[in-house]
Amino acid sequence: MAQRKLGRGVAIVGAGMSPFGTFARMATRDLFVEAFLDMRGSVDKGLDPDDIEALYVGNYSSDLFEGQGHTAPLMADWVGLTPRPATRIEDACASSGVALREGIIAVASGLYDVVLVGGIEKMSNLPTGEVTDALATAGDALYEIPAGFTFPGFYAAMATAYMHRYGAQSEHLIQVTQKNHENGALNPKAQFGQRIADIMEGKKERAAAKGRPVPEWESEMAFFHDDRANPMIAAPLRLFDCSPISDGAAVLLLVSEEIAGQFTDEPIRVIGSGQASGRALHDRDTLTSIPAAQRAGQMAYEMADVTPDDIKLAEVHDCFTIAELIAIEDLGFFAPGDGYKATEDGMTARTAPRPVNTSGGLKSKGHPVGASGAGQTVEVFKQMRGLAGERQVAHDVDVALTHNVGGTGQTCAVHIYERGQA
Amino acid sequence: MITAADFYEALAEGTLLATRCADCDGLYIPPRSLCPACYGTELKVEELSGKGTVGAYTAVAITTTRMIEAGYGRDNPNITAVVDLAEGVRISALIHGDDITVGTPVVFDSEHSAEHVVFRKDDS
Ligand SMILES: [Zn+2]
Repeated sequence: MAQRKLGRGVAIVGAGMSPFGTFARMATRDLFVEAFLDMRGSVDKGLDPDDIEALYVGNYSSDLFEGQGHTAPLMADWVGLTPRPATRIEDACASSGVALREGIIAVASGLYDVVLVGGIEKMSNLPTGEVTDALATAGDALYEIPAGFTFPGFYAAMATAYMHRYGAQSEHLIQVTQKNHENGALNPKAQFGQRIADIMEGKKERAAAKGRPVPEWESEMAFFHDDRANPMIAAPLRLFDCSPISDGAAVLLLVSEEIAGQFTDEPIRVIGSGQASGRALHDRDTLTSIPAAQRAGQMAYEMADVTPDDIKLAEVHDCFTIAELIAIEDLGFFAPGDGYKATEDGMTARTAPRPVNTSGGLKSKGHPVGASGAGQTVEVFKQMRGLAGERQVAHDVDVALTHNVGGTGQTCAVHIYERGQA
Repeated sequence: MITAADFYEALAEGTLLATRCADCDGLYIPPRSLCPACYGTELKVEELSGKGTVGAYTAVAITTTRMIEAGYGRDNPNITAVVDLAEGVRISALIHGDDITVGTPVVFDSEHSAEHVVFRKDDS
């Protein structure tokens, strides 16, 4: 594949997000406003919204979730951007990772100097059954869904292939959950920002308060094996293998590198961007990796002229536990089949040289699908600038990566960032 | 042009329909009219043997409305698989019967296939 470069440098100078969670009284536009204000507060030298020239917003399906189509001009209006161009990007759960790429391309082209990129999703209005149906439409409605696949079902199938091929067990998968909840517990914006031990304690307390029998578990693994506490969703994946149903928004401010100094002395330069498409799961050569992710990663590494060893922190798409194991292999952090061993050995922990999902990942932080990609970039922005609070990693993060997957890998967007000097 | 309508019509009549590219010999199920490998447009209909093995599978407890209406759900999870067909291609299928794992031989269940592709354990 031919090596591609951006037409000119692009930097992120602001990043913010709403809390992720379920917010009955908030519509998508309210979450977007909250994320916009958070972003605005993050711009060191201030932002005059009049300078924003266009909006690219990722959104999977407000149509199905909220009965609201044509969301981009609506979002633009609610943050005061009308009549500037506003474009919605839909690539399932990779919608805002791809929106970021479109924003980068728009600035790199020279057409705009200042662009707003967002991600939005409001999923909690619908009962779980309808959310299951809505998410399933990211698969092939003619040939996959009729066979009975759901979104967790696809990843569950990949998990059986992975476990069979490499000898991983359910206990290995759930170690991703344990790690990501450890991290999410330090993230005030996380939907389930609690360690597993605290979740277990909470369940006991609630049972006691309601006068019900108080459950006892010998260990966290015993808790994960308990069908009541951790029911099967799509075998072998249980509830705690799955990211939650979430509402949320995230917003990024992109500018041409030449003017980045007007906004901050510490811009985050985008040095690599890759995106690839993929076929339905049954139309791929492999069931244990995601070819689109491998390709998007390779494109981003080549553009950035870095290797996996240069990455000091990564936010990867852990919509399910198995997805994180496959992600860290597809990105070249570990050899195929070694991802679960590396996780078991703590090589993706927050204290490791190359931590994965310090934000808590989609599992703990929440997965408002269209907002998740932009949300990953918010974490990278904070960690690279030393502003991640309690969960700030100890080492210097001068180069970082985000990996955002749509569907079961029919889309993947990978970005690589470097901390610059304005 | 061959479409999903043709595929499901043939399925209801007990046939697993694929197409093969006259130019590069590429085999496609679901059937296609344009070869994504060589861009050829001369694709001939071919019937598959219906023999294969389970490549990946799941038992879906929280399932779609469509599957719930077909009688599946938490107490009766639908077993769904990616089947590796003998011809070297794959298809998504509902599996009738349980006790399967990766590698289990399965066979096309033409009697129960109409709205969805059904395979069952191959005891032969
Ligand atoms: Zn061909």
